[in-house]
Amino acid sequence: MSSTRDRIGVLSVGLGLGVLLLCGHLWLLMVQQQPVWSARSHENRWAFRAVPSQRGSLLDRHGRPLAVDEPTTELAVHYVVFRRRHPIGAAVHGATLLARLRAGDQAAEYRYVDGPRGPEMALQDLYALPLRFLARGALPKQVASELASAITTVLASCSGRSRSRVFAAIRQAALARDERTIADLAEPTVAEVFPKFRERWAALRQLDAQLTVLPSAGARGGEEADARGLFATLEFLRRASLDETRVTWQQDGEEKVGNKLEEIARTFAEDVPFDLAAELRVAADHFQGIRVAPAVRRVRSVAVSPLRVLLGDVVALDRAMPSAEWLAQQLERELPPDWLTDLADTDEAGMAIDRDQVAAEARQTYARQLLQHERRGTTGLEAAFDDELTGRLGLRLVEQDSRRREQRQWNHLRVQAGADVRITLDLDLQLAAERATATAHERQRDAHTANRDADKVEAALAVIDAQSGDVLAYAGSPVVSGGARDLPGVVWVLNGALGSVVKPFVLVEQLQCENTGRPHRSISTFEPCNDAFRYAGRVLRCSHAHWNDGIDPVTALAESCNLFYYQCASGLLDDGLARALRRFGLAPPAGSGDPFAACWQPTVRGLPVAAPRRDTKFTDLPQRAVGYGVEASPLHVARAYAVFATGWLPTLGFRPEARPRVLFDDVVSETAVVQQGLRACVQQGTARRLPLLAELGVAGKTGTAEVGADDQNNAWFAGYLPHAAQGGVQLCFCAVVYWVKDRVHGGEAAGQLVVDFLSALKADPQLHRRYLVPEGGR
Amino acid sequence: MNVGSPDKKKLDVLANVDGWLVLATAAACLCGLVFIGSAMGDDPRFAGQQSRQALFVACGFGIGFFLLLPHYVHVLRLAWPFYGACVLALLGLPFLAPEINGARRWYAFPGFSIQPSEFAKLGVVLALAALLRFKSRARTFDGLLVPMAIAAVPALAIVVQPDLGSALVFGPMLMAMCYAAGAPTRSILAVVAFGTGLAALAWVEVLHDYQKERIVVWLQHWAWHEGNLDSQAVRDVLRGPGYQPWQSLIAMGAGGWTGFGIGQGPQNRYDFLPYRSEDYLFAVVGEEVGWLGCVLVLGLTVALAHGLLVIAMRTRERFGRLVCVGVATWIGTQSLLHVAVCGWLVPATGLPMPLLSYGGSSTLATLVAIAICLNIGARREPILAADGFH
Repeated sequence: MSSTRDRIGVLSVGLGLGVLLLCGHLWLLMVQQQPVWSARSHENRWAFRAVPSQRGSLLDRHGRPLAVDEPTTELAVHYVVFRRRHPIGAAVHGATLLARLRAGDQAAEYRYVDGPRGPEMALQDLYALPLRFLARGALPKQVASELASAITTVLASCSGRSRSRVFAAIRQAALARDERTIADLAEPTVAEVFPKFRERWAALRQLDAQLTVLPSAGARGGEEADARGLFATLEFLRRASLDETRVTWQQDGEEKVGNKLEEIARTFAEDVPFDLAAELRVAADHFQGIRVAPAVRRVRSVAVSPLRVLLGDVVALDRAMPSAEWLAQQLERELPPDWLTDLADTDEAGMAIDRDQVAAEARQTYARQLLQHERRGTTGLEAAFDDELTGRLGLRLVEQDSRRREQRQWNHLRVQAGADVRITLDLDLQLAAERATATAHERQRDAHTANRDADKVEAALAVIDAQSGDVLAYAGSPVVSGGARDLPGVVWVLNGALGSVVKPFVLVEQLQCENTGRPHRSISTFEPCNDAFRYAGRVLRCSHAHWNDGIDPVTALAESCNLFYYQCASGLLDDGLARALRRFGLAPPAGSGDPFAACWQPTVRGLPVAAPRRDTKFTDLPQRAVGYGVEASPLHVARAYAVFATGWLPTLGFRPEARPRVLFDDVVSETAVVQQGLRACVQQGTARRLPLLAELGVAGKTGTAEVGADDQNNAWFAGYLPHAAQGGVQLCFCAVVYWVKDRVHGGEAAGQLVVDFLSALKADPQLHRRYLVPEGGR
Repeated sequence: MNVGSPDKKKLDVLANVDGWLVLATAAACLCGLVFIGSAMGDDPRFAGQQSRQALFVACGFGIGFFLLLPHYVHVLRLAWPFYGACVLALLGLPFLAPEINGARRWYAFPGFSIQPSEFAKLGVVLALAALLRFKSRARTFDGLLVPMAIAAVPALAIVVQPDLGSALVFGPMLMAMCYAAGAPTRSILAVVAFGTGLAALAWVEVLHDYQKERIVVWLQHWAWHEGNLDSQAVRDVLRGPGYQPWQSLIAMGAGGWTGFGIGQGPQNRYDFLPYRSEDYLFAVVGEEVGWLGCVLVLGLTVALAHGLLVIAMRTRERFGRLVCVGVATWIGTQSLLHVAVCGWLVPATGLPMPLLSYGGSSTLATLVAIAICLNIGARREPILAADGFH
């Protein structure tokens, strides 16, 4: 047998071997695998923090804000905290756990509703729980722990005692293993807890009521899309908590599973008023699990209105659901490759960092944060100028502690605000146009006796600067979609049959053909207007017999004599009529060699409008000369009339910038005749009953296109002011009221709309000086 | 004072005290104070730990000094009463101790608390040494049953606290002392087999769910690699039962050769390491002074245990020899287990590193045990009888 000394030697060797084994393990861990663990250490404490950018403002032509970002607050529920720390959440959760322990009651649930299975009943049921169930071994450990935690939360929150004190009291009482229940606890007493519990429940209900009336309250789409308010969100999350629902998403064709829904803060109210947010902040101890977070909202200068539709909507990127390609482009644009490369340069422990990994993580984080924090214009001008308006999301590489508190900043990508975009609209002018269209719409709608007809009435007014083509105002009524998710109404986007406002363009062509000898029928051969024109066995009529007025180009235009234009059409034929429209951009170019190709209005960013078109299938040739089969929007018509105001065909645009325009120097004499006719129209022609137009020197043309089976009309008026006002702006406008009653003509409906609009300008000293007085009165 | 007076004689023993062992002890205590200070940082939860630990160390050295003076035969006389007091104290815990973090381990007094399990280790060592100092006791398996019972009673009382980590130390202590006492190897193997059987039984009957979970997670973690670390299942484990050992691994692994520097370890500084002044102190050591620092600190522990074993080898009297073996095994095993827990070589369990980790009871018990061993080493008693003092 070995000696004691030998045995102690063996023990000593054993100890040494143990130490050697440990040293070997530590060497592997700390030396061999150091880079791996160092990277994990970095992952642990390094974080990318996003700094949401401010979106640029949309400004009117005078720099007044139309849409701006404004700080606001939003509310979110972090359900796992709510059910653990809020007495209501704890009672509902605890009672549900308890109920499900009972045989045959596995589907039992308590809810965030008043009455049976509500929070108060949940508390009563918790109070009925025998304390011995909380003793060790009586229930499965996790259930016992959650139950004890829930009861502790309720009793501590509603009695003002510390959690540890309440918990110790419960555990102490549980050790007795007798039949006493939670209600038998010496402290806190039932009488203490219940009133406070009811107060907390009432406070939640009051909050829910306050939030439900907010327009922004509601869930964020998806399966709970119909959920609105606090309780709807709590109910959704409660079910998700019981089912342990997790976030899932698709990545690289695989379904990925993420955190439990209850572990993620879920926004349920945005644009929360400051007072309410401040109240919740101050009383944070009474609203555990409900977070007040700073956010940004888009504030518009108008509510539901045509301008609001024009401005469009901005939504969070995660709700806009951009395509993967778009996201990749954004990352390409906003994450400079050199920044990613330099990201780890400043790291004092940079040796251990896998730069590629950091860069990849930065990209992932950026993409995720982009979706979470950034917004995108989905409609209107917000969408059209999204690239300029969108800023660059900032990203900071920081060191954080275990509670995510930032300790140090390593590197950052500076946040950039989006650029402001100034557009050509004049807010005052726009509002005046909106009021005028709304009035016209209401007036003509009320004139109908049948609801079916009344519903079809729409009014629109386009006001542009004849000199530059700037769109100054663009209004329509009704506003089809306040949310602007859909395109605005017919008035805005689609074309309407033009009627007689097309006649000036035909007249220019007729006169030029007379000068150049292109196929035509000479005006000298025209017959006086006797109210009837026979064509292909049909009788086409005029409003009344104009007799010899119908063979004078100026008078025929002023009186809008159809027979004159029927006869023009018989000579110009379809080619000539098409040329008349192409010259003014009211028909698409006829191939690449078309001399009028430059007259076609290109698509304009942010301008929701259809291109003009001709339809020759269902109309006879003479009818096309008086506007049938020719369809355009008021904006295009206004543009075409700008030629008569300035001799130039401008290019429409929403940005105050130089744009190409077409000089009409080949038809100077012809346009002069038209100008006379347009002036005469206002002074003694079809628009003579609108004296304000004559007073302001407006030159214009009425138009009436019969479009309905019962002779319902499209009523038009297009014209311009005779002079440039302040800043060289010369107003040119076109108004239309669709589906007016029979016998209501362009002058009465659309002309009156323009009069209302100009009256508003005249009544406002600033607008008067800005637009009606030559050169602003200088 | 007259030469040869009793007081002079008492003080003469100090001249024979193993200075290197005192130095190693002091160095370990100093290391502990440094790293406890580092672990504290400016975290209010750990506020005052360093100064309190310094106070415990000072008290330990003071008590140790006075324990050096009387002959250790008095320790032998007090061995059984001390063991009995420890067992009683452990048995009284469920009734008298307050519940803290779900366990009843401490007797609370105004301003301080006492953890009887730490003193029970010393009690068991003394009791076993007192029992096994008779050569005949350890020679047969039957003779080992009483020592097993002596270790098992406090160990079981500690397991039910629950404090599995502390209880684990009793096994190696028992085996080492039996082995040093002359127990045949087969008897030791039988004890190991018996212990394994007990462990299996414990899995079914004694271990709590969270303790089983720690073992399951420890078994799982060997299969983790870069490919599956991002899976939700692993992430859930890392946020739950695997959090503490994983963070400890990160801290130690990132330390490299020389570490981040004292007070600079990010895992420590940024509060990723839980219980870092107690159960995971060595992770702080690894992160801040790297592998070389770890080897130095482990070297201190080895020096300490080795010094105690050297005293044991030098001591011819059996009680003193066995006490030194027991204390060396206690300090060595507990230190190695602590390091192994920090490196996740064994399932996570709360075990302080002797003399380094924060804890008054642990520090005092260890310093008292070392003082007794120093006393034994300083006496160099001749063998008066085959069975020691008896």
